[in-house]
Amino acid sequence: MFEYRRTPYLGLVYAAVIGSAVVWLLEMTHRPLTVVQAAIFYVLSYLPGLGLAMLSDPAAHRAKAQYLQVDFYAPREDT
Amino acid sequence: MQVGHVALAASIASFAPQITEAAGVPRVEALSVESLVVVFLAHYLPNFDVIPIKLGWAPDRFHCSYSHTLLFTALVGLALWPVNASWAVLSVVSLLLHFVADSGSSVGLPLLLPFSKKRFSLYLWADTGHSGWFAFKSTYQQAWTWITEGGMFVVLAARFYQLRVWPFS
Repeated sequence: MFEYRRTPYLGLVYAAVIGSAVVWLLEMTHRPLTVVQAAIFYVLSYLPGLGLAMLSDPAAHRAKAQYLQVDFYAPREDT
Repeated sequence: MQVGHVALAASIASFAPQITEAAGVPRVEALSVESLVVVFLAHYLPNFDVIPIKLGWAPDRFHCSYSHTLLFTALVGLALWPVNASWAVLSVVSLLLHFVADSGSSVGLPLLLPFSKKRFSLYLWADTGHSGWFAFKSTYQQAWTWITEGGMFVVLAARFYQLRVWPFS
């Protein structure tokens, strides 16, 4: 899934940035997030963060290029 | 989009009061049973085209065809309007956002069928089939699926916080 070993770790960096931005934008002064609630945002931010990290990983590009060459909706021979 | 549809549908249901009020129809509460049932059914309705394919009644190419069109959206809205105007509005919004979510897929959406066969796509990720483990696994080998679908879960968590839903209550 990854060619570079750094990709999942780079995802953590992006997740920290995304999570911090979301918490900064979202948090209400009269209702501060608890540690667990903030952690939920940081954990969820890893999902798009990993995607951003994969943009610079050749394996993800190769997978996309490979799948784009296949017509997965072509009529099957057994039907 | 695959798992991300769950987060998107729940996010739409969280905006049910704003959507219904903006449309001037009776208000539906955020994340109520009514909003969740209507939005989830409408949001997943286009993908029910997999059922006739699985039953062997339609070819694979039937996926992402007539169920992913503006005409289909209009028909669903018109059919629901006499029954419940709020359901009609929520369904139309859910269907349109389903198309937006799928617009990154390389298979493209024939939004203007039957008037035009042109397929619209942003080509963010390669489509690898309508169902099955391979389609699931190969989708998540690509970057943009993580960005878009993961982003939807962050948005849903934000809505949970704003609406004081557990674990943000």
